[in-house]
Amino acid sequence: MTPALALPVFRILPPEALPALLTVFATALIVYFGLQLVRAEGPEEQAKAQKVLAGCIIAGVLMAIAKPLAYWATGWNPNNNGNLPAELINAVDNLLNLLMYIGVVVVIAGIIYGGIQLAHTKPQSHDTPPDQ
Amino acid sequence: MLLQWILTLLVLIPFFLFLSVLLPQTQWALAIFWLISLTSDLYSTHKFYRENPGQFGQNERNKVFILLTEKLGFKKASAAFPVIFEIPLLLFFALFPLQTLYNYLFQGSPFNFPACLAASFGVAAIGHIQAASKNMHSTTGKSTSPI
Repeated sequence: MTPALALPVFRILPPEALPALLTVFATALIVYFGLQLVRAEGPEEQAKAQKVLAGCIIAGVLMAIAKPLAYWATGWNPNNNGNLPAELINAVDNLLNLLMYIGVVVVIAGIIYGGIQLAHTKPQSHDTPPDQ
Repeated sequence: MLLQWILTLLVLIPFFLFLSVLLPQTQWALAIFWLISLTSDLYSTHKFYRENPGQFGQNERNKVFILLTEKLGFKKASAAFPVIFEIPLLLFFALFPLQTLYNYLFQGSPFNFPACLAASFGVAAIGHIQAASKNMHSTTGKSTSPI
């Protein structure tokens, strides 16, 4: 994601959640690329992964709308729960908010990544010489 | 790069931290889960290492493990990798990134190092399970994509 495109994403999100979001993304990427002992992917598998992008965008949308949808469906109000400790309610609220922000970032990053992939693949198809 | 697996890790990091703070008895379970998943990852990696040891540098994605294998051989590298690379990295995760996440989720609570360490073990365990699954599917000739 280029800095110019990333800027609006960060404006959407509340500033207090940004360090937590960045650390979650950094940790996930380090675990994925640094810790896994895995067979290297060939070009076919990478192409297959790009097809999964649509699924990721759908998952991101679901994550982004999950919290308001769950509150609406269950009728649960985080401001009006006398039985539970306030710290726990705050922690649950923060967790759901963070998942929502991750969903928003995944959707936007997925759209941008998909656009970049599309821009890369189109010129290649014109450049390939015809089979003789 | 299978993006859905990164997405899984993204969701599970805050979830594991939340779980290990609220239910401290899960901390040991996450550490044991990490040990089991690391073993299965090493076992599945050893399977494709045996196929062609000379090509291991090209077949394996983890550069640190390739380097250790070249210097020490596979068995010693399997023991050295968690000790000199993975556990220090997990300690780093617990002290810095997960502390930031902890401060966001549990605002005002004192830092809970065992819970952060257990969460980092849990995340690493999921990473190893993913890798072992990919390795096993690759060796059996099946698709690596779960979708």
